[in-house]
Amino acid sequence: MAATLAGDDLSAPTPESRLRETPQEPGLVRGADAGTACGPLGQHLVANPGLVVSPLDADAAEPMAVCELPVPGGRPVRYSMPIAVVELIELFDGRRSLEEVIAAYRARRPGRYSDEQLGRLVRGVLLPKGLILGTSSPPTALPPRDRRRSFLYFQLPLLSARFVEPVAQALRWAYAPPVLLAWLPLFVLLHWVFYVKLLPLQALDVNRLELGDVLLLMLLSTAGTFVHELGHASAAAFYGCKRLEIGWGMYLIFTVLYADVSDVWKLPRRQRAVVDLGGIYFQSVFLALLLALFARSGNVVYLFAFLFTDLAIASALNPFLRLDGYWLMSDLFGIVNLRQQSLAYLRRTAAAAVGRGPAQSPGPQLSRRATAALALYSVAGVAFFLVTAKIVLTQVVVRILVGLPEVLARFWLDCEIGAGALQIAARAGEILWRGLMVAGVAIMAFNVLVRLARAAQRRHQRTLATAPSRAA
Amino acid sequence: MADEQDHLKRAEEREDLAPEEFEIVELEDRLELQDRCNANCKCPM
Repeated sequence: MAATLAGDDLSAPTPESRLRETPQEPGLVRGADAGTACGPLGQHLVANPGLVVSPLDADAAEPMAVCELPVPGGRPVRYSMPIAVVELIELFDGRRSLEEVIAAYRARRPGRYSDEQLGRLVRGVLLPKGLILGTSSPPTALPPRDRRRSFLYFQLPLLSARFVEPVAQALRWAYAPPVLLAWLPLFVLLHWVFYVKLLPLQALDVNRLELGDVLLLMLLSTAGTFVHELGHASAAAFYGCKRLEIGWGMYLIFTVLYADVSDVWKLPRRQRAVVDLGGIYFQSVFLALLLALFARSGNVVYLFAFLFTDLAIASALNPFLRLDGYWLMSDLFGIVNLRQQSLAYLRRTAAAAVGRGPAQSPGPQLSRRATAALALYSVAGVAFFLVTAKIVLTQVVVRILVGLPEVLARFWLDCEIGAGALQIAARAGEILWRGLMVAGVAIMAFNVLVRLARAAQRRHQRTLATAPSRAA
Repeated sequence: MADEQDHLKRAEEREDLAPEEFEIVELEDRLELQDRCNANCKCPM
């Protein structure tokens, strides 16, 4: 679905391609000052040859594009921007001066931006971000990315794209419409069998599980999560996406597995939504496997695993954490960077409530429908986080901290009496996940404090900057 | 030139040159997560 930068018509789907002219290696910036706000003034500029442009299917008042830039040794960085800005970038052919480009753009899109705005756009945004480059100075590394909006504290790739992509490719058939349609009644039947036929007959009591059962349960749950991530990757592969990776990370107070499907930004919203639901789809197939294993063995651990996997599926639809429900909400309403937009909406609302001017929205102008959805989401999100914070603090952190000495003592005792390796491993695991949750809460609290401090600092700087003009 | 650079740098610090003005936004990395808490907390350990 990507289109060429030089092809002009970005609304029409065309094969993915890069800029035709490649005067230098992608990812390198020519001009020692290219990373500053000023850029290499006085020299000719060229659109970054590594830039890949695709239409962005988002709720916006005008057509938008995704501009993907390669980052040497890292993930590509993607910007959403109006097609009007892409049209400006494509005018930088390495032969025209900045003034000539601005004149050409003004002739092409009269009234879109003033000369002053175009100058600021080029020098303050396009050059620092490496979207356009200087042509005459020695190359330097691309400027560092903006403060990454990564929501994972730690990221540890477990399965690289080299492994994930062939597997995901092999499973693409699962997204053929007849297969999807056939699975729906089976999904319903599966749940009917479990909740209506099996569960009432089984008195599932976690206290009756032996240590080996617990370990099997954890193993099955982990396998189910891998299957979930593979579901996202397979859906992305079905639509031709690349650079699919599965890894482990830490999000808020949770340890998580993730599938990196960032390439799906170039897809239409409906296809992105299928990718969002792909994890749940595959995990529901995993449920069928669990039920089959129970039917074969009669081991109730498989029923526990079914129940916990079903709970995991339900919790994945939560739109307020960056789980599947978040991306689904973002894609269904076409609101990119939903969390960022939600926070900005709350800031704007708060500013309006105290009589200050509205702040700039960090994204395209939304339609009424999307704005209403964003408002509802933002308000509900505040309520969700307040309730969750109270539960986390009172139920999780306090309980974990209070119970930690006893857990440590049990671990120490097991080591002293020479308990079995499994028993000691289980105790160590118990300490580990409790420690990770407390660490997660501490990191989250630290991040909140840092953000508040930065906001206060920015406000202070603004006050200082405007003070002289007021005095004048 | 140095003055202009300095002015622009400080303006950027004040977010006067925020790319949002031009609706240019760095898109989030799409990491589809599933929390492992389900594997740990719900276990009877």
